[in-house]
Amino acid sequence: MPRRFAFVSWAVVLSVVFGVATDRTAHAARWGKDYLPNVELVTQDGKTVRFYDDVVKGKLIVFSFIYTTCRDICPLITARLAQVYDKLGDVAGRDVHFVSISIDPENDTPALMKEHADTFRDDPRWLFLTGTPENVGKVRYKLGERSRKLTEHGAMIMMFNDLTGEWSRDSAFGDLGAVVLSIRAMKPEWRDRPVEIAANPSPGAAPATAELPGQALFVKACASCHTVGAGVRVGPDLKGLTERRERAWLHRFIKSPKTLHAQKDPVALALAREYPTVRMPNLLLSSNDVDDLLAYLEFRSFAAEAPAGGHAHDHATAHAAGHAHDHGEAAGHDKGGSKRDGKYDAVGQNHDHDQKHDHKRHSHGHR
Amino acid sequence: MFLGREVSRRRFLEAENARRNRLEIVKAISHGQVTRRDLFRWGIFTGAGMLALKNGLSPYASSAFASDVPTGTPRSPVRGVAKFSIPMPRPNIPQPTPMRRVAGSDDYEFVVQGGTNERPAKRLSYHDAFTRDPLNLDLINPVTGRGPIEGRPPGEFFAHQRWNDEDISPVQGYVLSLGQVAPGSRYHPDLPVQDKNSVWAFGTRPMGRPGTPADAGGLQLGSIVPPLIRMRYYEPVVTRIYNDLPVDRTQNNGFGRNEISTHFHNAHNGAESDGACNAYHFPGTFYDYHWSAACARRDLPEVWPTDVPDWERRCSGPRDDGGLDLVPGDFRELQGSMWFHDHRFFFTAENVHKHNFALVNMYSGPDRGNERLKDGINLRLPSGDLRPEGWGNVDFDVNLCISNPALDPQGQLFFDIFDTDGFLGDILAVNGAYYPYMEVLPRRYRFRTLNASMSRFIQLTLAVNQSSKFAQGTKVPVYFIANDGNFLVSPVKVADMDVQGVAERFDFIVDFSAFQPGDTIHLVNRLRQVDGRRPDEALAVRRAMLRGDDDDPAVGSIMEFKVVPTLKSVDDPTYTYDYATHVDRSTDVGNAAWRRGDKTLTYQIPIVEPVRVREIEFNRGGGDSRDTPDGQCVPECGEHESFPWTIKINGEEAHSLNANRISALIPRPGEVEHWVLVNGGGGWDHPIHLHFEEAVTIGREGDPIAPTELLARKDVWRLGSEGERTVRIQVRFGEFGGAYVAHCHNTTHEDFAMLMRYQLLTPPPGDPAYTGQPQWVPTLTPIPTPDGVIWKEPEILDEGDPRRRDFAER
Repeated sequence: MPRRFAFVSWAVVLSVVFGVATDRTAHAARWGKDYLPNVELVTQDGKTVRFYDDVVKGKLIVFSFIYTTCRDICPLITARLAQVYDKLGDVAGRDVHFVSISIDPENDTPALMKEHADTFRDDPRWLFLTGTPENVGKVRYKLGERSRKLTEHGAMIMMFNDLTGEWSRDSAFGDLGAVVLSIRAMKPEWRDRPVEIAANPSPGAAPATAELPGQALFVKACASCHTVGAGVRVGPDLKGLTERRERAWLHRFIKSPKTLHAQKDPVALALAREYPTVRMPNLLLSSNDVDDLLAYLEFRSFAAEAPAGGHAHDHATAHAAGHAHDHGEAAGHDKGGSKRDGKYDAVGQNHDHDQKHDHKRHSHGHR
Repeated sequence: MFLGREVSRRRFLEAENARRNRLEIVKAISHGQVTRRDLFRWGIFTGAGMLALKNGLSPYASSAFASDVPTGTPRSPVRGVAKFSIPMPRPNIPQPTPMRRVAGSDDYEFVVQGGTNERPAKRLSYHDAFTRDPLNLDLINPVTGRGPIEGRPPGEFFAHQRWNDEDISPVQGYVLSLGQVAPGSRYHPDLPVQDKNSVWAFGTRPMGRPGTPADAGGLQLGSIVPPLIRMRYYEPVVTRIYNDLPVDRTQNNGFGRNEISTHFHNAHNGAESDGACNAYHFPGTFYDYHWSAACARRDLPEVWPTDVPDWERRCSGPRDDGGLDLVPGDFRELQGSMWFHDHRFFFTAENVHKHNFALVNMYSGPDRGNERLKDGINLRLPSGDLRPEGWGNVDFDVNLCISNPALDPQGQLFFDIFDTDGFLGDILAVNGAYYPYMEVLPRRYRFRTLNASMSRFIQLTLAVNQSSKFAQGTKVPVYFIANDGNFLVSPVKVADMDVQGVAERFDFIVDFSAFQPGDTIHLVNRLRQVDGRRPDEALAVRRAMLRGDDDDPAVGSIMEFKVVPTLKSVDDPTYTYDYATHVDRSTDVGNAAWRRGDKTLTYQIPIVEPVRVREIEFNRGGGDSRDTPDGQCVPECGEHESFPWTIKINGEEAHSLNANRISALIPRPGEVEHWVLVNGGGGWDHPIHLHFEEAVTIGREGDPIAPTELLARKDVWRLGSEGERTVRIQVRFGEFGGAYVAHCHNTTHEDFAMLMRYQLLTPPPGDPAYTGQPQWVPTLTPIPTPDGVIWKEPEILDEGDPRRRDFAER
């Protein structure tokens, strides 16, 4: 991309001319070392760590809050952050550290945290911390996770760079590409690196609404854990779902999986046995939503039957769906970079980390 | 909440220590700075040696430090600073610069004698040109050398809508700075000067001043007293806002983000000028907002109330010669007291607390700011008549902008960025001054109050402090005339105002003529609030005034009116009023004709059968008020964790997976909708703000509705905090399109995703009503970077899409 190179080098020249670099060491962080509690917590591997000294000090961290027994929307937080982790590429775990903190330390043992961690991303560098209720309580309070009941807990993520003392926040349910950008903006060196700007959108070039209304739902609610025809991710591959399950059952299960569990529905129990570490969350979808989702899944299943590989499938889907843009976060399992992924090249994102974890499901045993 | 006034010194130090290291009692233990015995002595350990479930040591306890300091913040160091010892500053009113169309283009230039370097305003953002020509130094941010000079995103979607419509194209221009506070700024002469990075505020900016790399540390042009912009109908404005904050975003004294987005709360503007569509911009750049000064229903003549006498002349702007400029629209939609403030997602609370807000009075034919001129349209509300322009007098029409700062032990503005319940300050400042006084003549005044707090609700009463005729604590009744800047049909006489949530504006008229020079009257906040989630209870006015509240220092008198015999004019600084000779010519809205309803401020917009009803339930924790979808509450189901809000349309099942930022609503222009705003419970109160259009408040369930709110047009509604509580409103959209939002205006909640995006579509090409606006398709979401904007496609949930065939039936 010659134009891009020209731009980058020109930007370098300009930044020299303008002397953009500022003295960042001068900043005394109000909410840094002296604010954060240096209490002992325990990692998913059972290792005791001091929160400031061992976890935070000198690092750029993305904090999130979870509890492993959540059967509602919260597992999606870890699932979506796992997508962010993938989108960050090599810098995840090396320059950007993910830390998920239990808000239910009474129940979340390190072993349960490990199970939760492995379900979504078995990278030991992503810390899942629990500990004594007092210590965990102090940490989460300090980080602004102040819900008084587990069900109040939100999808907030906090970002902190201990080297600059700056905090930022975002939502795990925000656009994942934007979350990646805001994480990368936490590091001055990356912040100062130019981003390539796409051409102006022109009228008529705006997105058509997805012809298949279930798509947005799938992207937001399902794609973190499920693929259609690309294998097991966190939960089952949904290709051909409507052929193997009764529609009425699907409605009941998708709308309230825990009701089926409570009623000892054999299929629900079998799924729980097959995927012991994660439970389908209660997404509180309406019947309309479920119909939309199933229609979308049928369409994707049909597209996945087409002769070419996974990459082509998605494009086929896109074209068949009558619009040229890619499928956003659903493309997390795409094998190739999409057009928009290419845009992110400019910020050095490695978006093309295949889901080498897709099939890890069976690599760790059942309890 | 804050430490009581009789607090011991040791207790204060303790609290101060806790602020520095809030929860750090425990850190202090781990560092060996205090012993367990100390903690035991302070009551932080229980007898069993366990950490007590209070004092913020448990996330389930409400306080960060002690049960009487729920916000974890000891009182601001204001000991010895006397209340009512400084005059209340009147807002600085920037002067506009005329704008003129540049021949042969649709650029508008600032008309300055001798010319100016200030660039003309363009329909398309300068970013557009930059994207096409990224190496052109003229188009590059001159401070950082990176990215475009204008932060407004490129392309047609962020081009100014209806830029060349005769009544909407710009006539006046403002060049403002959002920068560091000017040197020497403080809340009171006995309080410390605010550091340049403690307060970031609006100020006027020299015209034609190019930025340079030397500006990277920021410009100190901001005013701690919020500026006031005088607008009028038929006079559209371009407001160019420069981001003059430090380039290094860590230079913020603990809170605030140097990326800004200015929302003109609730003006009738295109989405590109609404300031809330994620188009924030960076230091060194400017953003041109096009404030249309258009009246709502401009495009819908069929609803104009043509049976009302003078309906046409009422829908007008005041001319300098005393005449009226008629504007198309429905005069019942005219607006008055408004404000603009930051809307940078995730940082709104921090930035607004840092003073990123200012005021706008919107003048119209009926609400002209002239109490003398009689033309059958002008309501002659208290204001004055000295301005040669004949409108916009402020001598007796006074903005009271009530904000809620807290100061750290060094006296610098403080905000706890981790207080996710909502941060409460312990000071109520009026127009940026610490508990000021204001001199008034014994005559009628109009006040325009704005609650510019982040999370604090207030409830105001006017009461006698000192008088030869009335006992201290006697309530002074007021005539409530406008809610959120919109006239009630008839003034309502009240002794106590309703609760005023964040961002709500109450206009009322006070008659001081019963008082003598030397008398003093207090504006009293009676509402106790010790928890960012919701207010507590209102105290009796005498108690609030005389004793205050030990737990909440913000209860009590917040300003004093001193009745004086002579008063210098603001409108004409060379003139001094003398009450012996002064004649109050303003309308007496308490007289018989007004009481009978023969005279009214405006006319009621009728409540009609809606095309559709949307029920929007706001949750902030506490789960979902519904059972499981099957209605079967199995043993383990308990409470659900849920998204911050859910939407139902026409009684269908709720859609709950509307993760934030999804466009969920696409109302069709012109159609009447009823929205039912529901508080899903959890013990929170939410002031819900609908952008762009006001709605008529139809009623409440679960709460009585105040006469000052019933059938009032509003843009912020309090939901109440307990039980199933709803507010029902009627709204209609039109004229502009694009992405807008509705959200909780507890700015802390808003930052935590209690915000939903709606997309308003304009008529498509081929439709007779098509005006060339590209917003007939959904707008891409801009994602600003220092190098320019990149784009994200919105994810649109289906239930609100009008192009779906069954939408009309919904």
